[in-house]
Amino acid sequence: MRERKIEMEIDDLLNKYFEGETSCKEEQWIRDYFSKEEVPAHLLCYKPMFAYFKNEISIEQNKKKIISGRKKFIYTLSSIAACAVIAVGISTFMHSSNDSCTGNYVMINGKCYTDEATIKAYAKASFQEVATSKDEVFAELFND
Amino acid sequence: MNLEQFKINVLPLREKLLNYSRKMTEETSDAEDIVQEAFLKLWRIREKLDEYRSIDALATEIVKNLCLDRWRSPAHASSIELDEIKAQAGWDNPERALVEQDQVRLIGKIMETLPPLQQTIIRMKDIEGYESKEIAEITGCDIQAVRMNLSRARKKVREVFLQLTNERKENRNGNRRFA
Repeated sequence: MRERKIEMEIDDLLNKYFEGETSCKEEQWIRDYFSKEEVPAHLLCYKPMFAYFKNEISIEQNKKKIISGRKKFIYTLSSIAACAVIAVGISTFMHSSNDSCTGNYVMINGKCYTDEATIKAYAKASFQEVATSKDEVFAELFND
Repeated sequence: MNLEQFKINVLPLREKLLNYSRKMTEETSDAEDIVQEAFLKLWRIREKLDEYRSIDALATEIVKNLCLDRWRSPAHASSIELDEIKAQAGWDNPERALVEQDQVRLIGKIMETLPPLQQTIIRMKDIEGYESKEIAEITGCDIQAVRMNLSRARKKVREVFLQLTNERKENRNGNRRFA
């Protein structure tokens, strides 16, 4: 009795299916029904069609799995790369901040100095280079 | 790109593409099918659409190619392919006992002979799990048009399959009679 009812149901659903009016859920039900061994003789001709769809669905799902696996791999790889870049960035920053001067400083020949005495010595030397002595000034003034 | 973005950025091209397709095919029903097919193709590459400078130009190019394809191979070409399907599936050799797997393969071969739009729609619905409503939204046509194409595709697969199965049965019986 129950089998008879299911058979009627499947007949109705198949009609709906071939009119393009079934939902995905109903189609899933039809595929499951035809994947069972015992199918009434008059419905046997539908078996290969739904078996084909079932096969293709599993192929499609496998493809998706492979793609998502590949995506995961790429994400992991790029996050490792990003971490490496950040690590290099931080270490360069730390390194350069060791050299860098804080507070008042003077750059001489590309180097950074904060020690006042050294700077004064350098400054004096530089002034010496451009300074003119008293004799030179007199010589310049009273040359004629 | 999700469906909402697709509707905003791509679907508004429909009228323009339809006009273009009508001009190319000189046949309104074909023109509508071509536009639907073009939208399904665009939907398939939705993740990459941002890389194109102009979706408009891309869509026009797709429609143009589909029109040319249709012009090169009209729909009735599929009847010629039936013999080919039979040969590939071992269907033309009545002595060979066919297992269920052969019949499943035959269905696949029949699917390949469907007109491209029907093929895409039946794949989306029966394999990829789209609802008819979603396909209608992607192509910008009404749900009844999707159902009609789906129904035609499914009936065609059934029809060709039954035709080939019966033909084979008759051949086998005939051979036995003469043996």
